Parts: sequence; structure tokens; C-alpha cells
Amino acid sequence: MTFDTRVHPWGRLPGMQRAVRRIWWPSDVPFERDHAMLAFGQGRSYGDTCLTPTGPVLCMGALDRFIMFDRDTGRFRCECGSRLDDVLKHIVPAGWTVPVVPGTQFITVGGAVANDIHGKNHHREGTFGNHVECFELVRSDGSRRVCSRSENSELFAATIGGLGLTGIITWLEIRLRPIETWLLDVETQSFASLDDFVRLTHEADKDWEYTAAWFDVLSYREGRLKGLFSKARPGEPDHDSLRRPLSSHRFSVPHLPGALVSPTSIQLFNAIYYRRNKRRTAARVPFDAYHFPLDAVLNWNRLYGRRGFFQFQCAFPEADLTRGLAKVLGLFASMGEGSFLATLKRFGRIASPGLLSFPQPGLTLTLDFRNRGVRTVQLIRQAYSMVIEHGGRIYPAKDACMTSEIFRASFPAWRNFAKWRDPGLLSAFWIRVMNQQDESANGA
Amino acid sequence: MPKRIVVFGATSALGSAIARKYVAKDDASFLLVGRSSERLRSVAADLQIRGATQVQTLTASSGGNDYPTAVHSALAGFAPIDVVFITQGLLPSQEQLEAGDFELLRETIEANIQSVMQAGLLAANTLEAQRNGVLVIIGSVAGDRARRSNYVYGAAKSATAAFAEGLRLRLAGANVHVLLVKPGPFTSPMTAGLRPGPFWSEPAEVADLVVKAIDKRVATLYAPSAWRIVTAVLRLLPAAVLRRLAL
Repeated sequence: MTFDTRVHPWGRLPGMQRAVRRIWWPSDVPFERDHAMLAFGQGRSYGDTCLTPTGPVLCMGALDRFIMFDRDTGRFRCECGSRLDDVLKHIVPAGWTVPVVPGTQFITVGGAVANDIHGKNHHREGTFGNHVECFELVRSDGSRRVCSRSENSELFAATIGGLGLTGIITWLEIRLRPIETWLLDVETQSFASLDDFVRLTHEADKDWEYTAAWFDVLSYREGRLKGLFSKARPGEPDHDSLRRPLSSHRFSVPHLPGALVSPTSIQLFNAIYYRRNKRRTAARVPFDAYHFPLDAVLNWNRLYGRRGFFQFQCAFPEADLTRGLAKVLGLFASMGEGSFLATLKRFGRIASPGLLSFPQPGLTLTLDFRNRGVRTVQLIRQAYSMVIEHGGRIYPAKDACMTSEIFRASFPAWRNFAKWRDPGLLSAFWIRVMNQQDESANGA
Repeated sequence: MPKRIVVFGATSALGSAIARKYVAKDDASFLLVGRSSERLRSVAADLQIRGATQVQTLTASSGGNDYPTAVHSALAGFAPIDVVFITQGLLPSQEQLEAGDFELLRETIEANIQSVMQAGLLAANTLEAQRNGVLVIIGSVAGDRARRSNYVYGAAKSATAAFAEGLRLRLAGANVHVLLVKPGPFTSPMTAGLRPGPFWSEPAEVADLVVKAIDKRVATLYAPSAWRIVTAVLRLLPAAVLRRLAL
């Protein structure tokens, strides 16, 4: 049997492993005097936003106790290391659900707040932070504060999307949403251009709660883009389906020396995936199968081999919906860099309370790139600059290489946020985007 | 499938992991015993939300004079009992003990021997009277053979093992089964200072093995099972060899 004493983020890039310290009770947050710390959840961030500069991270996994669940009003309080799949397993049979979920259920609720995650229903429900009632924040000066919209509200806003830098969240309270069926009505259809996609999502977002598109990056050619648009909404009430346990069918990818991901395999996968799904199909699908398809394959990140991979996620504003997007897609297509998991989604207008919240009204683009060293980093940074030029921004939770300029341009509120950082907490990401190391390093 | 479960040391990593295993099945009721009422409340609230039918807590310390009466009446009030787990323990710093910290020595013996035997005897009385049930005592592989690095702890766990075997002899005639669990080291507050080694485990994994062993009426469980072979070999090694291994 293997024992992994070090943790790493999901992208598994070289040099991103850290030792672990653990916390067992909310009363015992072990701040260190000598070096800065950072809370670590399930390690589903892709880059170094979840890593300390060098020292051990503070693993919150044992802080997974449920504290209070009001089955009449849907108020739910739990410790920050509680995992989404565990929470859903216990609240869904009681007729409640978490209003915003990301692409995997293997995240902690603390991580959901720290990254202010969003899901396929952003245009309806906003981000996770929109549904957080309050939380307890512990700081290195020994203070313990309950933060909410009415109490310690500035710290509340700084902590949502605050990447764990304002303090350690010990417990939090969410406002759940009633749910009457676990089954979603899903429709899928193909599209052939960017404009097609924009039109489809504008129409669908009115009546469908969950919308997103998958597409083939390499198919991009001057506005033409091959993809599949998916829309879903809860089916008719079916309370029996709520008792259905989450699927536990899982296959695990072993450690692989090289990558099974290559330009050929990507092209092959994209061609097969598109052909199999392009007919206009309607289906009734369990919520977890629709939202967390990759969870069926544990450790799918190992497919990228020992060098790991980069994730690219950006948002373009309403004012410049497709021009910047077209440029970025053109860049990737011309470099021959395909991607397995290329997705597009429209963000809605619901504002999050978080200072560093990523979603803004417009479109978001997500791609993955296997790590081929400096050329990959350069390509991504080139694309980042294009995004900024067109008024967009980059998502820290996915990033492993954004420069200080890109970060500050993405989040003008960073100055206000920086006032709230806890000096006892620090991430490798923050050091990079604040240029706190070598001034001469110049973002290299 | 046991439904009425008593856990001594319920706030320990293993104690609470075992309780979690049972609450996941239907209809479990718990009596949780521990020294910190605040932590017991946390564990109890968590179990309740996860679907426990009933959770009672008892804040008691084996050092107190009222411990026997408090535990006896709590057990009586919780009857009939299916399983009693005794999971508390303390892993002391060997260096501190060798430096002469005898307060730590007293605490080590209190946690690993005194409180385990008190709870064990009280539970045995109750289970013997109801002529039914299972008693589970958490020992350690450290008790199988003394090692340079933790022989005081090992000695205490060795005492626990002999105690469990004695109880087994006593209770066999009363239709009460005794399971002695010998886990290898696993992630817990107690092992925070240790570097994980081979066969290192997690509380949930050990708890899983314990629950299965109860169903199968095993007498001694090594968790994970590889430890059975490891300690068997260790016990056969001549002292001279053991000395050189610097364990």
C-alpha cells in the first residue's frame, strides 16, 4: 500500500508538492511564528493558489463535521473541510441541495469560498459566495470573528474569493435550496460557429438552469467552431430519486510515467466525442452524472503524466464578447495545441460579494494544456495578455503562471483586498503576483 | 448489524471514525464517553445530522471518583448494548519520559491502562449481565514487542492486550465476544510528530477493518493486516538483531 505524505494541486506541475500539517479541532488552529501557512482542502486548485511558498500546508480534511442542519429552513452549518459529496449525500434525501456546484464534488466547502466557485447555473444563481450566510475566520493574531454581510462585512467580502489569504475559515453556514428531483432533463445539440454558440446560450439561458458548451479547439477557423451545446433543468418532481445515493462507481488512473495525452490522442478523443454526441438528443440524467462526469474517473489528472498540465480559464466582458475570444482561440488553433476539456459558458449578471470574485457578465473559456515546459507558459501568458487587452480577466484557481501585471489588471480591487491579508498566511501564488521575491525575476 | 453502540474515547480520531461508520448504516444509537464536553457535543451534533437515531454523551474522566457510578448508570440507561468500543490512548514522547518527566508517565499509564481497564471492567459487568454483546479494545502493534523508540507506550499496550485476553476468557461463557484491535500507526493527533512509514493508515481505514472484524467475530485484528506478519517476524528476531535494526 502506498502512503502519500505530500500533497500537490490538481495540475501536478513539477515543484508543486508540499508537506502537510493537520488540524483536528476548530479551536486548535496552529499558526506558526517562523513561517507563513495556508489552509489546504482537497487540492483541486490547479496551480499554486493553494500552496505555501515552501513550508507545510495546513490540511483541513479532519475538520469535516456537520454542525447544524435546519431541515425546515435549509440553513446548513459545517466545518470548512466538509466535502461537497459528503454534504450532498446527507442533505439531498431531506429535500435540499447546494445552489452552486463546480465540475467536481471532491472539493471542500472552505475551498469553495476561498475560490468563490461557480457552476453551470451562474446565470441563475451566481457564485458560491452568494449563498454563504456567515463563517468564522481565525487569524494569526489570535482573533476569531464571525463574518457576514452585516458583521465584519469587509472581511467577509475579502475572504470570499480571497484564496485563503485573509484567515483560516473554521466553519461556515450556507443557505441551501429546496430540491424536488435528482433527475435533470438534458438536451444537447451541435453548433458550428462562435456566433451560433452565443445565440444558443442567449436563448437557452432564459429557460434552462444549467448551460455550457464543449468544443474542439483545433476546429477553430475564423469564427467557425465545432462544438456541443448542453442545457439542463430539473425534471418533474420525483422525491424517490432523492433517496438515490450518489453513484460510487469509480475507476482510478494509476501513476503513469509518460502522458497518455498527446496531440494525436486529443484529436482522436475530440472527433469521437463530437460524433457520438452531436445529434440533438434529449435525456433524463442524474444530477451527479451531469455535473461531475469526471469524478467517475479518480485521479484523471494522472493521464497527463509526470509533468502535469496547465489549466487556462478566463472571462470576457459583455462589451467585448467574441473579439477577444476569437483572437485567443485563433492563437491556440494556430499553435496546434488541442485540449480535451475545452468549454465555454455564459456568465450572468448576479454580482458576488467577493472582492476577488472571478465571474463577470460575459463569457468564460476553459482549456487544458499538457506541460511542455517554457513554451507552454509563454503561450498561456501570450493568451492572458490578449484577454486583458479585451477587458477580460484570469481565474486564479486554475492558474499557475500569471504575472503580476496580469493579476492586477484582472482584479483592480486587489489593492483593497491586500489590506485584509493576514501576515501569518501566504501562498506561492501571492508571492508571484505581488512580485515579492526577486524584483529582477521579471515574472519568469 | 449492531445498532446500539457505546464509544469510550469518542473524541479520538479512531473513536469518531468508528462512530461514523455505524451512523452510515441505518438506525444507530450512540453513547459517547469522553473528557471534553465541548468536543463530545461536536461529535454528537455531527452524528445526529448524519442520521443517528439517538446520541447521548457522558463527560467523565477516569481519574475522578464519580467515574464508576457515572459510567455504570450511563451504561445501564443505554441498555441493551450491542457493542462497546474502548478507543482512548496517549502516545507520549519517549525522550521526555527518559528525561524524567514522570507526570507524563503518570498520564501515559492513566490514559492507556487505568482508563482502559476501568472502562473495560465496567463494560464487561454490563455486558455480562445482559449475556450478550461485543467488547472492542484498541491496543497497538507496539505492544507485541518492545522497541527502543516507544517501549513505555509499548509496555502499556502490552498490558492492554493481556487485559483483553483475560476478559475474553471471563466473558466467553456469557455469550459476550471480545475483539482486540492492534492497529499500526495511522494519521491522528497522537502521531502528528511521526513520519509516516510503511503500512501507514488512516482512521477511516482502520475503522472499516474494525467494523468488518466484528461481523466476522474475529478475536484479534491487525489493522492493516500486513502488521500481523511484521510483528510475527519482529517477535522472532534475536535481541542482538533487533538492537542493530535501531527501531
